[in-house]
Amino acid sequence: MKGARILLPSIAVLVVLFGASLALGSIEWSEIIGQPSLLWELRGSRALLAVAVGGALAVSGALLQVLFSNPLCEPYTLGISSGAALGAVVAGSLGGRWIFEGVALGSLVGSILFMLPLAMLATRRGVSGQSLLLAGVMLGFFGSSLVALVMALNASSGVAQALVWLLGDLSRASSAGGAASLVATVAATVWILRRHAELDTLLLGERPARAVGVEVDGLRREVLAISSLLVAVGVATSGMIGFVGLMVPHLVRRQVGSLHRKVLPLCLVWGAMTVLLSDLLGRLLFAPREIPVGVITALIGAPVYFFWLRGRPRHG
Amino acid sequence: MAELLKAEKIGWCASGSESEQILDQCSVSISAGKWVTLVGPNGAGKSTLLQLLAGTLGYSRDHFSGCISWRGEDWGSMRPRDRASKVAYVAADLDPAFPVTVEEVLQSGVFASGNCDAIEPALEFCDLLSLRARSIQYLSGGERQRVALARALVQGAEVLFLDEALSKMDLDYQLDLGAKLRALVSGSEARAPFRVSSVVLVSHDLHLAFRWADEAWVLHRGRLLAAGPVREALSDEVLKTIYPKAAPAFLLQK
Repeated sequence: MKGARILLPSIAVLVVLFGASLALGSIEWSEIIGQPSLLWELRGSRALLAVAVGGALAVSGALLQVLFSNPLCEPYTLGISSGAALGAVVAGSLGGRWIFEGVALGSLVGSILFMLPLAMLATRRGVSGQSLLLAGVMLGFFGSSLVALVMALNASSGVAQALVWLLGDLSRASSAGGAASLVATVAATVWILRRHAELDTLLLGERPARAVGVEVDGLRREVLAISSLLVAVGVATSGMIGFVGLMVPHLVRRQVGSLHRKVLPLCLVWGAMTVLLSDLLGRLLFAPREIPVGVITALIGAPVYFFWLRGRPRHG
Repeated sequence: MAELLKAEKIGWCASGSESEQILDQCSVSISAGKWVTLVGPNGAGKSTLLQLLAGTLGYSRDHFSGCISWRGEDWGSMRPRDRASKVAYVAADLDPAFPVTVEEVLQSGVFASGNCDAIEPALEFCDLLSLRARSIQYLSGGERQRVALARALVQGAEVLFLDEALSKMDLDYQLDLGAKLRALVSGSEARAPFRVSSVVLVSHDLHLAFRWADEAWVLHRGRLLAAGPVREALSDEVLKTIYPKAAPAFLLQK
């Protein structure tokens, strides 16, 4: 089976990258030897979180793209990330001792608040994927303007920290958080995989999906709920890492085609690989300085993606 | 002749108000072994009628009025998937936003029937064997219509609603596929690979209408102007009403 022929080597690469993330870094080995728990605290939990967040973003991107029948969809373009950013800066401007927890919680609440109107629209009959996308883009503008407003009215240090957060940041990973995120991501992906055949019919558009008897409204609600969960996992633990949700699903489809039983598992693995590698580069390139992972995904991702698009797809 | 689908006084209004009544008080029935041509000017409500019969618009009481039954059973309360294994709606266009191969499109028809064995015969029926691995984004409009038709055959439906679904095919394919479908409907093939027993075809080509159809339904401004055996329903009078400019020339040829 072609899907497995790519999936298994990809998992092997992911394991190697995970090992590299554990082995490489700015701290001297002499400090770590004899303290394996320190290694895990410093690098393991962070690598675990990178895997979880990368997988969550790529899978949510693939789901949102088919949900809205539009290859431009991802948490960013739909405004969900703007909601998360708004929550983050509001929490940041309120300041206080629990700044990081507050920012994380704020962005989680923000992403859910911005997804709700989309969900309400999606459950109404006769609202097309195009209208939903337009509503999402509009929400995104609304959110970014509010972010600018909060920042203009407020010069506290919390806002500056929220800004770092907006670039995507894995440095505050804890092992419990990483593991929980990974479990949630894998569980959500496996859950939605049981409806892979229905998602495939949606590739052709809403009307052809209805014509073979798919209950599109119910499917949309479920996909939206699952992708909200995945976006929330990504945003609440590591801020806003752009580009992964947009790019990875397209690369995957070019490689194995569009059927979801192949696309979703491979998105999980390739998304994880992308963020893990980006974080590794971010830590090593200018060590001991760290580049936020979101900067790397976009800086390296965009040219790679462009280069890849020039070639003919392997599939079809 | 067994009556399959029967619609009584069905209507559809777009925004829930009387003013936007797209379809009003239409009563039609489809029997096994019959080919129906649905004729009417643009915007007459042809696609709405077909989609209402197929169930793809749903039956919300805000929009829908009337009642539809399948072999005497209430059609609206059936599961969408069960409806899709009995009737198939084929639109004029198939334009996915993602790269999908011909075979994958046909695979999606299996959702209704659960029967993968129909894929090969459907590919063969629509002459798609050589295109099976191609992405449909690289296919022409007529080729895509053959793919959409093949998917409907995979659904295993007894009634096909073809909404201008042959309109972009070249003349050979139109005539060939039309004739093969007609043979399925007539039951003239001993071992037919599909159980299609009726076709409702929306077409603006009156020559084709007369060639294959047993019956015609004529829609005009959301109302059924005429329905019945094709030569009675498409009378000179009716044709002049729906196509005031084109009808005289056509009637001369006839």
